[in-house]
Amino acid sequence: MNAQAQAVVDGYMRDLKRELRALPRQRRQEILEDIDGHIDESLGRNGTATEADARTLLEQLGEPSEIASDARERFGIAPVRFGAVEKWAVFLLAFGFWIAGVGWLLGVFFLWSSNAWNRREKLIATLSPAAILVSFASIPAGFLALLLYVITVPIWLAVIARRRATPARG
Amino acid sequence: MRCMVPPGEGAAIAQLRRGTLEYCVLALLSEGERYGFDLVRELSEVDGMVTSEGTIYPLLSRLRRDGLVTTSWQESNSGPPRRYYKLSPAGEKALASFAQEWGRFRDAVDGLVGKGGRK
Repeated sequence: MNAQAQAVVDGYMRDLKRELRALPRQRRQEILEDIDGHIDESLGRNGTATEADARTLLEQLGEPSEIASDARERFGIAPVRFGAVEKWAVFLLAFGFWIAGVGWLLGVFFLWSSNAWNRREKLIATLSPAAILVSFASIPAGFLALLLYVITVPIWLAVIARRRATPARG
Repeated sequence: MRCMVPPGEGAAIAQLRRGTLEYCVLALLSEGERYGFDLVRELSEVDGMVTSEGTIYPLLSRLRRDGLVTTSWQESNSGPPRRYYKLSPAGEKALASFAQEWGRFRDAVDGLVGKGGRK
């Protein structure tokens, strides 16, 4: 295929990879490999395939967002939203310490009840305050570390959730 | 939560197609193992079966996760190795039990809708 066709295909594969991010890594890899093989089978060995040929083929395959939403349904994965639960989690993890600490615990509860973050991210957000308190026995250093936590971790979580959230579709 | 629009007849057919597609894939594989690309081409040739060809690949991946199909890489004489899909014993069982249920279901729908359509 010519350079323009290759560019169209590359853009499509990039979009597809991003759209499929909610799937487990291995499954996503499989789907990307198969679709890449499909495109290659149709266009790759045809040295004269043009941009128009590429567009026709990709249209038959379907929009990346359409394939991804079908895939999420097949795997029973609820779409990620940056909704009320996620916003409360971020807010309470940031400001909950000053509501007698209870707010923070409630934030942890919201954190774990959302599908916007994976287990590793939830563990980091939950356990790092304890690790901070243990490793900094002295009050000022521990306080500074905690301050750093409430500034950085909620922002990090919000960025992740917003990036993963799928726009609502009709 | 996803808002569900009450399905019209178009949506009803789309749901039905979606639900039965995996058994159509299993049925094709019961004739022998296949390369994903050939499978997609065969399904696309059946009128009204597949609207977006790309959606078959996630389906194949899920069938594999559920152990209904197995895969193997095979050399091809015209390009890189290809992933072949093969029906597993569990897949055979799932297909057989669906085929039986489907026969009953189809007769039931034909009995009711067929009558209504002939008015």
